[in-house]
Amino acid sequence: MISPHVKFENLNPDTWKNLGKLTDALFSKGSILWLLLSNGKIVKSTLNNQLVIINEDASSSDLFASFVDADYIIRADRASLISYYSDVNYKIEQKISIDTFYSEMVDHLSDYPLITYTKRDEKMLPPPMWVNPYEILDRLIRDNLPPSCNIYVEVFEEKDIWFTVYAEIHNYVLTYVSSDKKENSGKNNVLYIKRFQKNHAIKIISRLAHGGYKESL
Amino acid sequence: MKDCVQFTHDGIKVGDRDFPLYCGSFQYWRSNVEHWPAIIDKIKYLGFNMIETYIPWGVHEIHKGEYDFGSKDNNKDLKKFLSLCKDKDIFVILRPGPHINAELDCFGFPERIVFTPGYMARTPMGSPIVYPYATRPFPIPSYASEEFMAEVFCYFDEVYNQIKDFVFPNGPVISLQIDNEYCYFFRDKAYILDYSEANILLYHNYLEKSYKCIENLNDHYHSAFDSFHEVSPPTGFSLPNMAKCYDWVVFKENSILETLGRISKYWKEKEMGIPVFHNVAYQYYTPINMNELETDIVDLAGMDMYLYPNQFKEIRRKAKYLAGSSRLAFVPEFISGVWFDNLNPPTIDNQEFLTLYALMHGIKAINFYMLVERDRWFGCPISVTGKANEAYCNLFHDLLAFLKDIKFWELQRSVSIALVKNYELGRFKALYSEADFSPFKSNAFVNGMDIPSNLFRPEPCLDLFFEKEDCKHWAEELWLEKIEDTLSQNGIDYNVMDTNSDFTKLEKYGVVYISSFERMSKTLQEKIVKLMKVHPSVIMNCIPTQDLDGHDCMTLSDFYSHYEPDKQYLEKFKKQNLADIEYVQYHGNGSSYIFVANTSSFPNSGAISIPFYTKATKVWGTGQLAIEADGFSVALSPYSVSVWEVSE
Repeated sequence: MISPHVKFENLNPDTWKNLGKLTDALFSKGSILWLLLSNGKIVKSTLNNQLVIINEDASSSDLFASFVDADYIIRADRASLISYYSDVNYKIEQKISIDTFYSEMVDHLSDYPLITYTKRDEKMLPPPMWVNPYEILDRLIRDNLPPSCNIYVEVFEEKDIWFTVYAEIHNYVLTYVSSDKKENSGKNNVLYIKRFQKNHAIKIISRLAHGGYKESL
Repeated sequence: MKDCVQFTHDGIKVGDRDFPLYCGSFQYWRSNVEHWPAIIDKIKYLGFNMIETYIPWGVHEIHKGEYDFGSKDNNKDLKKFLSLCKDKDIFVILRPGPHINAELDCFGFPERIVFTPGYMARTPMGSPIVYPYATRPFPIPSYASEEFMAEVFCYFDEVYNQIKDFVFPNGPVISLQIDNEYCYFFRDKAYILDYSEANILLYHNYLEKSYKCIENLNDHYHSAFDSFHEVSPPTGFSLPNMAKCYDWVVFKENSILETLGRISKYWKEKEMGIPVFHNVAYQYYTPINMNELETDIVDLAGMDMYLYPNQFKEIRRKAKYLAGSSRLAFVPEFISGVWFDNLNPPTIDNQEFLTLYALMHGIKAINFYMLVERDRWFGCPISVTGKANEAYCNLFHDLLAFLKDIKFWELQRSVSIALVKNYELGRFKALYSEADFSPFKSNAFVNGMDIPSNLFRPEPCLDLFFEKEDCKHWAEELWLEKIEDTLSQNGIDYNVMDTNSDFTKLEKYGVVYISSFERMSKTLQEKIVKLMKVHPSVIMNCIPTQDLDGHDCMTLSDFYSHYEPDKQYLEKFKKQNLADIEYVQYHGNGSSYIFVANTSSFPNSGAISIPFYTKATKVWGTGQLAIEADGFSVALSPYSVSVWEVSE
C-alpha cells in the first residue's frame, strides 16, 4: 500500500498537523491493564505504564471492577512474548512493505494462545496491537478508487480548511503525498476531489475502524 | 596537511578568520539543480555563511560499486553543488554517514547493504532487529561486521574522490561529520542488540584485552571458563551476573567509540586539514561516552536537540552540559521543521523561544535542521524550490542579524557552580535496565502499539536508592535535577559535566555538586578526593562506601569525614521566587546583556534582583522591563525570551 520511496512534499504545517486527529479514530485510546505471566503466574502488571499490584486469583470482571480506568486486560506469557518478538523480527529478512509487516505482526498474534486480551465493553475496538490500520486504509482505497488515480481531499472545520491531502496512487500503492494539488494532477490520472466536514470525516474513519470496510467515500 | 580549519571555544577558525558556527541544512539531491542558486541565495539572505548537507550512500550508489554523482541524475551532482557553493562564497559542512537517517528508505544505506544477512545486528535470540520505519521496515545493520565496514570504506573512497578538490582553502568544505547519532539506531538499552557473531567476537576480544587472562575474569565473575570464547554475553540483568552485565555495558560503549574511531581515522588519514565531529542523539552517557569521544576520537562532540517548549528543562540541561563539557557547545541538529510523521511542527513563536532559550543557556554553535524543506520534512523557512516561507524567513533573518549585532558568540556567562552527573550511576542503571520485547514502535500513523517497558524491569535487588526512584528514563538523576530547578529559580547560572570530565576544569567553580550513590569505583573515589584536596566546596548527596562490585571501599568516605564543604551555599542567595522566569547574564565586548525567559505557557512576570544596573535597553523580544530599587521587574508573554542590554 505504501511505496518505500513514497514522497511527502509541500506539507502545510497548519493543516498537516491535524492528520493525527483523523488517524486517531483508527485506534482505541483506552487504557490497558497488562499482566505479564510466567508459568501461569502473574509476575508483573502495569496500567498506563505504572506498576500495579494484582490479586493472583482475580477474574477479568474482578480486575475491571478494581481498575476502573482499564478498558482492556492483556494477559501475556513472558516466554510467548519473547518468542513472538523473535518471530516477527525474523520477518525482516525478507523485503516487505510497512503494511505487510504490520499485517504479519497482527496475524502472528493468533499463533500465540498465551497472549490474549479482554475488552471491558464488547463494542470497543480491539487493543492497538491487534489492529492493522494499514489494512483498514487499504480496503478503503480498494473499495472506493480505481487501482491508479490521484485524489485530493479537503476537510473543513465549518468554513475553514482544517486538513488537506493530495495523494497519487499507482496499482493501489501510495507514491506521492502533499498538502496541495500538483499543477498537472489531473493530467495522467483521474483526479478525485472529495470534501468533508471534520466531524463527518472522523466519523467515517471511526466506522471503518469498527469494521465498516464498505464505507463509501 | 596542516589544519586549515579548527573549532574554537566560540565557533570555527577558517584560515586566519574566526566565524560563529551558525549553519543550516540543505540536501542538494532533494532539490532540482535549477533551484540550487536561488536556495543558496536565500540561505545567505537569512544571514548564514555556511550550510550542511548529508551525502547519501543509498542515493548515490545505484548498483554495487556503481555510483551516480551526477552522470545520470543532475540533482546528484555533488561536485557541481560544491562548486556552486564556492562561487556563492558559502562554507559547507559534509556528513557522509554511512548512516544518515534523513527519513530516507533504509536510513540512507543501500538496500543491498541492510538486507545482507551477514551485516545484520542480532537480538539475543539470534533474529535480526526490525526498525519499523514509517515507509518501510528494515533490518538494523551491525557495524561489528568487518565486511560491512569494508563496504563503508569503499563508499568513502568514492566520496573522497568527489570532495577532495573542494576542501578549504581550495573549496568551501570546512568540516566533516563522523557517522550520525550512533546509538545502535535508538535501540540503546543494554540487552536489545547486538548479538551477531561479529559483535560477540569483538566482545571476547574486549574481555581478553581487559582481563589479560581468563583466570582474572573468573576471579571477578566467580566463574570457571576455560577461555574467553566460552563467555556468552548477558541477555538481561541478573544479580549473580552483575559484573558480566557491567562489562557488557562498557563493551557496548567501547564498540561505539572504536567504530567512530575507525571512521574518524579514515578521514584523518586523508589529511584534508579540516576538523571532524559527531552528533550524539540524546545520551549524556552510556552507550555514548561524550568526554572520551571528544578527547580521543573526534575534534568535537555535539548533541542534537529536537525538543519543544514544554521540555525546556531538558533543553537547559543539554545546553549547560555541552557548555560545561565540550570545547564548543554545538548542536549539529537543532529543530527547524520536523519529519513528516511528526505532527507537531514548531510554530514561529516556538522556534524563536527554542532557539534563544538554548543559546541563553550556553549553546554557542548551531546547525538548523532543516533550513530548506524537502521530501519528508516540513515547516522550514525555505521551500524545496527556493521560495520563502515568509514568517519563518523573517524570524531567521532577524535572529541572525541580532546575534551578529551583539556578537553573541564572543559573549561569556559568569558561571560559579558546576553540577556533575555520575557516569557510573548511568552505567549501573543501564546494566540494571529492562529488556525490551516490543517489536512495535509508534509513529504518527500507528499509535499505542508498544508493550510497556516497565513490564520487563528487574525487581529491585541491589538495595541501592536509585531503585526506588520514579524515573522516566534511566539517565535521570533526581537529586541533581532538583538542584538545577533551585538554581534556575534563583537566577544562579551553572554548568553541567559528568564524572568522566577532566576534574581540573572544576577548580574554577565556586561550588561543585557531584551526584552519587552507594557504590563508586576506587578510581573515581580517588579522583574526587584529589578534587576535594584543592576545592573547598564539593557537595555530594551520598558518600559511597563500596566499590562497583559491592566490596567495601572507603577511600572517599575516609577523606570526607575530615572534609567540611560549605553546604549552605544556595541559602546565601536571596530567594527571588522566579518560578517560570529564568535569566542569564552575558558579558563581553564592553557590554552586558540579560536574557530573560518565561518558561510557562501563560503570561508571566517576576522580579530580578540585580541591583547594580540602572539602565536597560531592550534588544530582542516583546517583554516589558521596569527598573526597581533592587533590580528589575519583568513581564513576558508565554514561552518567550527577551534580551536587554544593561549598564550601571
